[in-house]
Amino acid sequence: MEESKIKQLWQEYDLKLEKSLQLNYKIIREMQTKKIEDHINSFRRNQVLGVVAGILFTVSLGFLVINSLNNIYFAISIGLIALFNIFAVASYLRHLIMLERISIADTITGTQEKLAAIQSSLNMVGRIMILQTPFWCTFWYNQQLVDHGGATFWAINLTVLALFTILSVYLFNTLTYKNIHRKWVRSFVESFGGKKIIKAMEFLKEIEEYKMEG
Amino acid sequence: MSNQQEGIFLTIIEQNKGIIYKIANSFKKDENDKKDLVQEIIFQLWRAFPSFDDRSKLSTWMYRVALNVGISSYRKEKKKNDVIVPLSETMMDFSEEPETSPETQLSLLQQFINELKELDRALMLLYLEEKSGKEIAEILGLSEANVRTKTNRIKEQLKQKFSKINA
Repeated sequence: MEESKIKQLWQEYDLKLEKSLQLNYKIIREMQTKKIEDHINSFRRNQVLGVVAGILFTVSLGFLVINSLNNIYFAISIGLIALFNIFAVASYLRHLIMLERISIADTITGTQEKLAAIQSSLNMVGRIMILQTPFWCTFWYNQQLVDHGGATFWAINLTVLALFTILSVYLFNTLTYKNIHRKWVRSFVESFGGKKIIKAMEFLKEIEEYKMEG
Repeated sequence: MSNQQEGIFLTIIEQNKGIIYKIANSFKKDENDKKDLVQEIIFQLWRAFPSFDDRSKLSTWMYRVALNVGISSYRKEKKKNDVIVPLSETMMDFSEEPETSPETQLSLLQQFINELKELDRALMLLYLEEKSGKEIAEILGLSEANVRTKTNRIKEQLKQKFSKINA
């Protein structure tokens, strides 16, 4: 089919729509008084929830640390876990600031690129949060265990700790977009609610390539 | 929004209802989803309208908002039983249903467009709306040369698809 024919077809479609579409002015006016679900802002809502939950959790951890300074192992472990959570809260706050700066009336590639970049940066937050895992293995240590735990006890515990440390560092390094072609990496990210993040990362790549083509 | 602004806004929507519907039609398959998307596009246009300034053309601004909403909505997974608006009526209705017989070439054209990736789909919609290369570039945020190359590539794909079917 020739180009002119395709355009003619589209113009006919336009005319047909012009005749048949009826705007419901009453409902459009009602937008001002009724709350309408806003897809663009639903991501923002999740970030706000993340910030609130993160702050509550971090404050609780801070409270625990302050009240357990007599057990240095517990205080350091929980303190470091709190730092990871502060990082997550800060990241979510940064996302909210970035979202504020996005204009829906900006260029399509510009807006979509920023939205996808924010979503895909959640992968980085998740990867960094994995690094806190070893500290969940040490928070229950205390001076008495250190003094009287015995060689076998510490051999087992330090092996477990080393394994978790190696595993968390390995996951931090591996769960990246460049490894997303690996089946288990994709499944792992997806199983932790990262399906949208993967899609965002893929779309980000697509936009970058799209802008470069031509 | 003042009464005067509201009047201007409604006129703009009336003048551009076709493109709003076409964008919704290109990014959603289900009839209810289309209606929801029409609603969301109009809602986002209404929200963004007070901040519209003369730095860009009204049509450029409108296409940017509508396509950004269309693509974002398309990319967002639809949840089951996700009721978008607690309104009993829809914002845009047909006085008569447009002909959507799968045999028509228009249906085929729509089907081809809907098969394109989001950004290509946006580009094709703008091309069919007879927007200039410059305006398409401004809306999408691409260079004019890039728009030209991509438009030619998609047109070629469309022609080939039509030829295959008409052969």
